[in-house]
Parts: sequence; C-alpha cells; structure tokens
Amino acid sequence: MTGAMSGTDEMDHDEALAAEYVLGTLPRTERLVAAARTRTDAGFAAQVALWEERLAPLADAYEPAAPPPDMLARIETRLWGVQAPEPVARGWRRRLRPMLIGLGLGTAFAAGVLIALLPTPGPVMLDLAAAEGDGPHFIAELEGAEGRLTLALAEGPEPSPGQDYQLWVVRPGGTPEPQGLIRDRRLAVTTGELPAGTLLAVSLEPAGGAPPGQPHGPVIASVEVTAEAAAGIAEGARSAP
Amino acid sequence: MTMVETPAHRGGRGDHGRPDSTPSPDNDPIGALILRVARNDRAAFRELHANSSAKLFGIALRMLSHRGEAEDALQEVFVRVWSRAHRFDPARARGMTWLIAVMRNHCIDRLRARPDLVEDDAALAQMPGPGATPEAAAIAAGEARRIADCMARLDADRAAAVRGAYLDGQSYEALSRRFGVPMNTMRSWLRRGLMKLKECLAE
Repeated sequence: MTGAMSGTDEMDHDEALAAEYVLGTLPRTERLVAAARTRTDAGFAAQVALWEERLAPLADAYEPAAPPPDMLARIETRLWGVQAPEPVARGWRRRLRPMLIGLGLGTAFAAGVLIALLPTPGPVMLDLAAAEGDGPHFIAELEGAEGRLTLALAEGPEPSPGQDYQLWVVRPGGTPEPQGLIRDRRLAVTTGELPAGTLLAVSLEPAGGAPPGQPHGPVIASVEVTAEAAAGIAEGARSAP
Repeated sequence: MTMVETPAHRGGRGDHGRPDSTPSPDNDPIGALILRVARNDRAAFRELHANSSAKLFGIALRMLSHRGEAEDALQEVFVRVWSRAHRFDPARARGMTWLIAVMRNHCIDRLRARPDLVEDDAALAQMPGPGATPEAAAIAAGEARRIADCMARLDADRAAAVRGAYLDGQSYEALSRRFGVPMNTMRSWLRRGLMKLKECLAE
C-alpha cells in the first residue's frame, strides 16, 4: 500500500536506494548493506533488476576495447588449472561410444574399461559469495552423490593468527554440521548428499574451529545449492554407465 | 540436450517466469550462453567470452582508467560469471544487462576501496567533453533513444551527474566536489533526477 499514497516527487525509500545502488553512488558502507540485501530480500533484488534494465541503455556509451589476446587463457588457467581438460568431454564420450560399437571392438569388458577411463562430467563449481562486499570468497567444486567437495579461498586474506576459517553444511531443515578447517587456502572433504536448498557457509572461528555445536564466529561467505547445482553434482557421480 | 529451462525452474526465487522470457539464441544470445554456462558448459563460456569481453573490458578501462587494473577486473568478472551463472534470472534481465551489472558492480567496489584522491583524479581524467559522448552513436536503438530523450529533459547538470555516476562510477563525494554543491544536495539532485527519468521512461 505504501506506493499508492506516495506523492509524485518522492520515491519510495527502497526504490531510491535500489536506484542509487545501481547508479553506484552509495557510500561504501551503505553500498555493502545494499549489496547484502540483494541476496536476501527478493523484493529489493527485483527493484535493483528493474533499475539495471532502465539504465542499461546508458552503457551503450562504453566503447568496446579488445582485451589482451591471452585473457581467455588466463581466465581458464585460474578456473581450471593449467591442464584444463577439453570442454567437450561429454560430447566426445557420446561420439566414441557408437564408434566402439560400430567397430565391433571386442567385449563389453574392453568397452567398459575404455569408457571408465574417459573424462567424467566436470564438477559443479559454486561461489561462496562474501558476506561483505570485498571480504574473502571461496569457490567450491562439488562432484558425486557422496558429495566430494574441494573448497578454495579464491580471493581475500587468510585468517589472522589465532583464527581459522571453518566450513559448515546446513541441509534444509537441519542444523549446521562442521566440515573442517580451511588451512593453506584449501579444504577437501566428503560431505554426503547435498540436496537442493543446502547452505554451504564459511565462518571465522578461533584457531581449531568452533566449540562443538554451532558456528560461533560470523559467517563470512555462503552459497545455497540450487536444484540445478544439486542435479549437476549428482550427475557428476555417474561417471561410467 | 537443449537447455530449455524456464525461470520457474531456476531456484523458484521471486518471479513467476514470463513464458516468453527464456532466452533463445535469437532473442537473447548472451542470455542463452549464460544459461549454458550455468550448466558448466565450457564451450559456451568461451563463446560468451568471445562475444562480451570487449564490451566488458571497455567498461573496466573507462571506470578504472588503469589498464592493469582493468585486466584484473576482467579476469575476476569472468571467474565470477563462471561460478555465479546460476544466479542469472532471464525473467529479470537480458544477458548483456546482467554481465554489465556484474562488471560495473565490481569496478564500483574497486573504486570505493581506493583512497579518495585516486578515485577523483581517475574519474575526472575520464570525463568526456560535452557533446563528445559516444552515446550519440547509439540512439538508433529505440530504448537508447528513449533514455536519451528522457536524459535531455533533465537539467543539464543533473543529467551530467547521472552519467558521471553511471559511466565513471563517481561517488557522491566526487560529484558534489565536481559540481560545487554539498553532498546532501547532490544526493537529492540525483534522486529527483532518477525519479524523473523513471516517470519519463514509463510514459
């Protein structure tokens, strides 16, 4: 009802905030608060999206500029490491399978061995967004119904001496389950099944981790496993048919 | 396997997807690529890079006015696009609009983290001369014409402040210094300017 009453020369407070957020003029602290709201407040996020669309034509004024020719290689190295596997793994396998049959290449055993050696669908990557604008964020690689998870500190400092980053898994309707400490910027664990709606969260804790039970320190980064991601993680498990 | 996927299936968040909003290679090629990237399609990621990196790099160069930092920003934004593509909601934004928002937000965060002086100098050094804006080249598209018309209805100073904020990432502090008005005045200038813009665009 608020909108119906407001005069024509004052925008609704949230709408003004959304516009200023998109324009980019908010002071740093207000900006951080607004950015956090876009992740938790669907109504506010929708207003932000509307303003992005309204102002988008202004972006025509940005002149395109060719990035350095090795930019894609740099990005891929950062995402997938130096020996990035070919992106067509699935297609390759699909093509190879009829080929094996067509060539009448031996027994099911031979085919099974060959197919098992072929690349599997890649892991699902999730970004644990920083709770504060430029706080540390983490990238999780998840694969398989048993929930093989590798977490890397993607950006931001390591914890101060006397502190640790700790990973938690909160399944829908469940309580936070500690998964381990992120030491030397990495953690590899097997979490068990990760259904859609599961929250992955990293908290800042005293060295050694939180006392048993709940995270004590602040949650500094988190991500929710979407239905799509959950399906992708499980798909990664079906390595050999 | 095609990537037919309505927004209603994408996490169920917020909007009850418009049935016509699923991006296709025809109506929103960039959006269609982002949906494929959300399914870990590396070929789509490369295609997306080929089709959008020049625009995104142009944004980073203008906002950050530092080549090395713009390269870092571009790299960072594509890493985020890979890991956050599942957040793209085609019911809410076209693909390019979403990418531009990710890049602008990243640049603004970098600018706000800089000491004030650097930010001001960088932003002022980048101000285009009056009439020289390449925006003029873009008014062929209906939407661009509409926003240009609506910008033209604003007071010149206020339109320039909106552009300075949007295109160069100037903060209230920088803008109030540039126009010689107190911060609160600048803030209400911009709020009123944005409100007029919204009303004009809705006409």
